[in-house]
Amino acid sequence: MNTNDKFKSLEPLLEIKNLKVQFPSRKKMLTAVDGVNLTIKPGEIVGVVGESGSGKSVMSQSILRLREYDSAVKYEGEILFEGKNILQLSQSEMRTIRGNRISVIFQDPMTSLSPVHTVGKQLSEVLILHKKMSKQQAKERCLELLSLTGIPNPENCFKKYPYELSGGMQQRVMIAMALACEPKLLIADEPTTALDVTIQEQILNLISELNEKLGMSVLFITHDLGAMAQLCHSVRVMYLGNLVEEAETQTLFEHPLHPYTQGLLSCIPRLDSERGRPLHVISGVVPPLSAVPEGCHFCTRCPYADDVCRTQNPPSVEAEANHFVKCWNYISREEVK
Amino acid sequence: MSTPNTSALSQASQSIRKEQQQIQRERILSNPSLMIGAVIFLLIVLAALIIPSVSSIDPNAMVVIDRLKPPSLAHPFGTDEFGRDLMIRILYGARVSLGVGCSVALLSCLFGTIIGIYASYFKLLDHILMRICEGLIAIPGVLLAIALMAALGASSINVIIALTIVYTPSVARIVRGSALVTREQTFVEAAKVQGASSARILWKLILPNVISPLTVQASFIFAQAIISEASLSFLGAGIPAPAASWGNILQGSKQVLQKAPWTVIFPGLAVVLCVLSLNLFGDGLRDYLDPRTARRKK
Amino acid sequence: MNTPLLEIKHLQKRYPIYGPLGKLFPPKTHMKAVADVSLNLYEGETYGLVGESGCGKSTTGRSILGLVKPDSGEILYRGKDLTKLSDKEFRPLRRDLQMVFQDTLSSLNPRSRIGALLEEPLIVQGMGNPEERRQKVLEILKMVGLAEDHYFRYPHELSGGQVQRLGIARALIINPKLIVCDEPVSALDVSIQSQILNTLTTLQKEMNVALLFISHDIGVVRYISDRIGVMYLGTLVEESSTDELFANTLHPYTKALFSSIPDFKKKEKKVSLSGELPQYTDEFKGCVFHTRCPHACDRCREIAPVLTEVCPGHKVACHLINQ
Repeated sequence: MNTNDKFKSLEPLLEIKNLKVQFPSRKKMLTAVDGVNLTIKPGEIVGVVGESGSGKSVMSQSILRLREYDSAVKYEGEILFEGKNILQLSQSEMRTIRGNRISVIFQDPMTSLSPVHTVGKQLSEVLILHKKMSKQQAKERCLELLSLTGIPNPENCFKKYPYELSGGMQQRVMIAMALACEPKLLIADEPTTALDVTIQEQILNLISELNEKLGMSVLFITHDLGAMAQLCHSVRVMYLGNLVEEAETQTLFEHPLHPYTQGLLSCIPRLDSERGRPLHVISGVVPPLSAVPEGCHFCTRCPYADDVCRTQNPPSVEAEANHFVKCWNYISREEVK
Repeated sequence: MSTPNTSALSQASQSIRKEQQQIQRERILSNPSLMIGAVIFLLIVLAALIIPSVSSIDPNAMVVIDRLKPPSLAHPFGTDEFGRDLMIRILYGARVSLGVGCSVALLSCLFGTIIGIYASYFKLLDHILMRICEGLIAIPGVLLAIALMAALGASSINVIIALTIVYTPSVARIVRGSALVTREQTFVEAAKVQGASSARILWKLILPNVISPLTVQASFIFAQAIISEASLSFLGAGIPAPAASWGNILQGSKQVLQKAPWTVIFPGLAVVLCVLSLNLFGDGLRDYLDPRTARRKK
Repeated sequence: MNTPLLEIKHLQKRYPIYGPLGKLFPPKTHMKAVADVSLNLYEGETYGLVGESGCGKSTTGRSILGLVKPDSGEILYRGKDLTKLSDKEFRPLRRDLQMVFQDTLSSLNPRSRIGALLEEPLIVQGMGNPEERRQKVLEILKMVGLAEDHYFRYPHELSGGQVQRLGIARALIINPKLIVCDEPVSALDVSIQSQILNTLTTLQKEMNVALLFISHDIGVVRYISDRIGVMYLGTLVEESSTDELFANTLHPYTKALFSSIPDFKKKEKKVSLSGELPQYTDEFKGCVFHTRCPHACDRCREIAPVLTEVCPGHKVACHLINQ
């Protein structure tokens, strides 16, 4: 509980209020993010976990408004970053925030790095552009950043092309690049999914070290519950555009409340689980965005779903202290009717 | 037991097929360049097929008093220097030009596919065939066609032969390329694991996956062949006069260009419209076959 | 145990590394993808092959099916060395050896309906008449948990989990003896993953087929496997029955691998494995793990340890344990 108290008193760094993100499709608007509330305090690591199609990436991308270039996205709600509503900023104002105040690292570092420029050139360009440094200053800072991210031989790495580095090293370079302008918030969108477990552990340790050292907030998006448990202070579980559960990491893993979270946690084969028995299964599949059920979004797969669940989407309630859940099971039925 | 099972299945089959066709139809209708290209091209083809057979005007009948008449009701496109009706001549020419274009597209795709598929599968053959193709590609197409026409003599069959020789190598290279890409795909590997023979893989897996990009190419070759035929005829190395083709109508008109501009404008317009519609159709077809490019366009 | 179904003996696969002038000169050196791997597969068992990317686990699996031609070594199946068979001689044996791919969607011909896709292995192997084949396809669709009317669908119309079921159906339809599963669930969401794993284990028991289950996910491998082989840098470093391996982990790499898996309890900072995979070229000497091993001594840097049995069914390749 002490971690939570530490963050509780602080002013939020990022506050997402009732965010709704819609994409046009052939027939109607598809709602990828449906009324999400999320607060990140300075220095906090917040994890968002969900399966593919849950809208977790769309949500994180809308913080930087990265989706606007390729399709007509419709936003509703507010995203307050340091008190300013990001959704109302002009593109030029956005540019001063992107990469500068808020940085992002993606799953596949190879596609985010230019293959025809050396690591050093790409890294120092960020500094020269945003921080107006001279070439020499930039180089020194680059080497500093590269060694900060645990690259064993920064001088050598500085001269290399991205393809000459291994996946883990590329991800370190991406992190160095993201840190270049000392951002207040780092969005890490599945940063370890493409990496091996031993390398993944190194990267997760690095992110958590940097968070402590630099006091930077992290929004960690992943589908891997294990990685989430290791890194985050608090966790949100996302399903079909809704945040269904919100709690401190330890509470969530020890005592999940939402049926979806419970199912998710029990269907992973763990190292300490019993062998030889069939795995727990969440029946069915995530419905497509064009067929999001009326009512609770999880009602098509939920073992406890009843008529109320199928007709009305529950509000998020604080079932226990600091433990929010979006499920009718935790709301007294009399109030509903 | 098996009878109700089968009938229930065939019912399911019908409804699923209907749904799949519906999706296809929507994709075609939401693709403007495919639709516009196809409609214009079909109109040209229909005009070339129907109008000359219902009208009684002889395309080669010379009426000396009607020389170089501007467009009028009697002669919608005017007349040429021998007093022949230009519209009818252009439509007869369309039959020749479209026939040549179509035959060239079909033949060069046929030969190109055979060569390309074999080249992609047999390494030694690949080297021999591809060097020959590269040699042919190195010579500018029109020059090669003129040289071939000089050797073969002017006739519409020879135009088709010459242009097929010109276009086959590029088709062969495209087919070889996409066959090589297809061969590396996992579903070919999966077929190997099942124990499919090379011949089965070649003809049942690789060929169908090569043909769809080829249909796009065929429509472009069709368009190019029409231009090439027109150029050959214009240079006097194509369809011999007095038979009408768009190329030799233009050639005949070049002396009277200033006196009677319509003799150039209408056949020129026919070539442009036809080539444009084919290219539009080809672009649309490419988007249709590859949904990724279609999405990027938005 | 009884005689193995399939024996892999000293399998090796190297890839040439050329100098700046490419293939004009003989290769500078070779990269070893698989270096001297030997393992036995028994009838009806599940053998899990774990390791990080680039450790040669896929190459090993693919060489069984002739998708990779190994440089040396033998793969014995029914007394025949699979590596020396021509395509034609291999074909009848393929009825017994099948594969499930990681990216199943791309392993399915996009232009075929599912009925035709599932019928294809039967046609190729010359099994049954059209009506029998159709019945067989419908039967297998039901077994893997797909509906009969999927028969007329195209693969791209299915969801990820359904596609993976289809991949399993296609491998099972000709009643093989062994299926090589190359990362069959790693592209799936966890809730779908557990469904597929359950289907796979049930059908395996029903049809008594052996699985070579290749994966980087240790939790999954532990769940599904009877025996596990741990690979590192083209080498099998430890092999044991599953329970024994987890109860009595011996090789330092295996230990590091197991401890690096995040579990759901937030814990104190662990000692993580430092460094990355070295280049395994011809010049590489000693134990493959010595560059990252916390216990490496001079002997480890010079001589490669041999996989030796330390207790019944538990083999390990490490000087510290073998001596």
